[in-house]
Amino acid sequence: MTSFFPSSLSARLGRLSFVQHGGRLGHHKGSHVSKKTGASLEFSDFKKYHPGDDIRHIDWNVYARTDSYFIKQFLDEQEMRVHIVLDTSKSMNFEDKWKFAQQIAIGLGQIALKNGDTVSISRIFSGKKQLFTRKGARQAGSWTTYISRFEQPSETTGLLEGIHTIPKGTTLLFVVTDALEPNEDLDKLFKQLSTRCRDVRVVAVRSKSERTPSYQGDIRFIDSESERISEVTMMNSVEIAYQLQQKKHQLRMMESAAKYGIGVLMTTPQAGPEDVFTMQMRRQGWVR
Amino acid sequence: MGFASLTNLWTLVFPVTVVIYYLFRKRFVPKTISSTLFWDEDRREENVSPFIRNLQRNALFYLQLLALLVFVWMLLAPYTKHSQTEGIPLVFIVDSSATMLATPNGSTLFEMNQEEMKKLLDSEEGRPVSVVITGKEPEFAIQNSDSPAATKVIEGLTVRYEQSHLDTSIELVKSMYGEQGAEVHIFTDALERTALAYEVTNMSWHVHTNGQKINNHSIVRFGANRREEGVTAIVKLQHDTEKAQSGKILLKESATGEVLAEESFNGEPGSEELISFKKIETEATALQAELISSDDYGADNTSYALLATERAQVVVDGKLHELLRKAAQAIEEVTIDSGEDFDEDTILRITGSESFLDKGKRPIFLVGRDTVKPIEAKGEVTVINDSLFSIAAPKDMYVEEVYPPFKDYEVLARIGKDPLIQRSPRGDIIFLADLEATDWPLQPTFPLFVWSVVKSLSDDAETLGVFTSLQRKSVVMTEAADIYELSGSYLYTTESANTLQAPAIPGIYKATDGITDKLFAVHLDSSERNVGTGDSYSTGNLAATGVKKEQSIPIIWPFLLPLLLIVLIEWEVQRRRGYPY
Repeated sequence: MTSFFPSSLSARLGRLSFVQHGGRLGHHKGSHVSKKTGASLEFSDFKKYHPGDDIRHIDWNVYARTDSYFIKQFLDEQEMRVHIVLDTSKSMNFEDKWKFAQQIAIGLGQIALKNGDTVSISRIFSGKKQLFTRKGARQAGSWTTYISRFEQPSETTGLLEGIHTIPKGTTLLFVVTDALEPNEDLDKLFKQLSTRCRDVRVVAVRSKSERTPSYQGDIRFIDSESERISEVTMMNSVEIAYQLQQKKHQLRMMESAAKYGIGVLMTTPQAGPEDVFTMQMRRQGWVR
Repeated sequence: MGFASLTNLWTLVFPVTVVIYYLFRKRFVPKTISSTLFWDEDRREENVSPFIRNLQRNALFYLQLLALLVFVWMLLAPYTKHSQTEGIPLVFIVDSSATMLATPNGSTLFEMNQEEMKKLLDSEEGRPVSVVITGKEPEFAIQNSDSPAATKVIEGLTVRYEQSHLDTSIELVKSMYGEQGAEVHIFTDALERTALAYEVTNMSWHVHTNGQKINNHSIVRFGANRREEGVTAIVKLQHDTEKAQSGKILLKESATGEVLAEESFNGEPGSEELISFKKIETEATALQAELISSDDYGADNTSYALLATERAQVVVDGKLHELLRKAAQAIEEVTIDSGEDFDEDTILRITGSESFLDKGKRPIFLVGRDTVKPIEAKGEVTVINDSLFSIAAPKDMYVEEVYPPFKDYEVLARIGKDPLIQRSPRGDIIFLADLEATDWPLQPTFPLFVWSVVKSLSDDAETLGVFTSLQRKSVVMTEAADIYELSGSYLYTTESANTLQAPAIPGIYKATDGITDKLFAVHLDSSERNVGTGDSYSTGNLAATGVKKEQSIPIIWPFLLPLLLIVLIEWEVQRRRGYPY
């Protein structure tokens, strides 16, 4: 389990928190005091102290009992509900994409849990939707275990089918997918997602040979989902045409994403999960 | 069952190629990937058209159908009709002798003939054309070719001065086209009807001749001789004119062009005239006579002569071996010496007596010695490289005994170490053995050697004599000779040392074999001094004239190739789609 998601990575993620783009505010009590009356604060959870947290929120009673610092957190009206939709179509089961997608889901969940938010994950398995919800920093372990036990993806349905699994009231929606669908389908998907949640972020995972194919000779490619066949004699010009197609697809995807205010992060297992969280997502302005 | 054209069996190559192509076809390696989204983006657009989709799915069927249709089409044996290509061969016999240079109307007969031939070609397009150039050895300038190529060749023809020998060319054409039939056009100055009288019926003859009388003065003969008091030259003229026309004769040095003397003539029609030049002082080796007058034929207005001493009479000692006499007699008239007196300066003596070595100015051929005793000979015969042996060198010759050699004389051949043939400083050739003591007279090289000796001793060493245009003659040279014009420009090199073919254009030429330079003159053949005049006529009956044959040319390749291509595409489709994945 530790090799699947190393604890050192968990430690690094603990310092991160999501940046909320939507109109709704964050949940830290201190930061919203001036705007809200704050009378309605209700205890919500304890959060382990990390350097930089407001020391005024340290619960000294807990410190006296456990000899470790905890920050008292209070349930806000605008509590952040993070939801992750995991693409379980067959195309995800290619090279190291699936493991990477799992790691991304675990990491996102840990960031949310450590910030005391509610996090849930949904996927389609054997044609049925499966939803898993956790809340609180202490749930990080079970979250990791649950996701790492996911079976290999074997669905042939697109992400559109999974739209109805998204719980109501989700404030932050992550979609982990490979986005290997026609632009028209993606556009439809983005439109649906944008009606479900105001802040949608898509993590598009592409494996190395998907980005830059390095095949040789005459190959009959078989689509893992539709089982469509495409016969290709590998040549330099063919590779260039492939790259061009991919770029075109990506551009149109970005276009339709921008249309619905959806953020898209293109990433690859080569980068490693740590780099995705600490560098790529930061650069994207998703976490801080 | 039989096969009409079994040779077409080679086309089996095509199906075999296709099968081999199939055996070595590339195979697609199946590979499952996440999505073929980017691989077949383009093809999806094709799928949009139902027509193309249909074509794709049933490609094999359509191709097979198409192949069958082409095959059926070919079984109908399509052909095109060609009526032009199968024409009666058109043959031009072109007289290229010097007389064709006559200019009755401002342009030469040859040029007029060229024009006429081109006109004929223009009107007879599509027939195979051959052009025969006359001469002792007639040759085809072009054979069974098309009109444009023949026109090109005809434009490039030139006069070759050689005597026409029209009968040879006619025989050649007869033998080549006798069975097939041909329309023959002869372009010459004059040709008797009798020349074409023979039985072959499927050839038609059209003789194009010179119909106009030619005004011609010609130098029939020109000779020059060097005497003590100077050079004497005689020019014989002939006047083939209708009116009396006076003119003059210039005597020139060939090398420098300097005019040595000048005489005028009256030029009575049909007459002959002799004009002589006497006591002309010149050191030149070659002279030329030029006729200046108004004249339609210029080629015979210049003649050349070499200033040679007259050829010596050969006198053979009656006591010598009979075979030697026979060998000498084979060359020319010889006189048998039976003791009379001769002017030693005018004869070539073949003798066995040493005493003649001192008499007269001319070198002799001495066989054996009569003042010393012979000694036994040993060893093989060896010769040096000399023009005497250039035709036939003595070889494997048995010599019983030889005479002692003359001191200081050049040794031309040895037997063992002893000299066998010597040459004196004066040029005498000495054979140091009795002919009875050798078997040489029985060998074929002996008469050739005697010929060489007589030739080299009797001829003026500086000249090779007189040739007619393109004539081939035997000469005595050590090596293949280079031929130069007198002005010094190189012309060509002869094929071998012993034969020389003269250039075509009359004049004085120089032949050199690296050791000596020898002059020779090229004259017009005497038959070329008269330009004939005759009627143009046609004879012979071409059985098939005017009947244009229609020929059906089957069209196979334009259909066979697409058929093969279709089969090839079929295999490609089969390879891609014909098998379940």
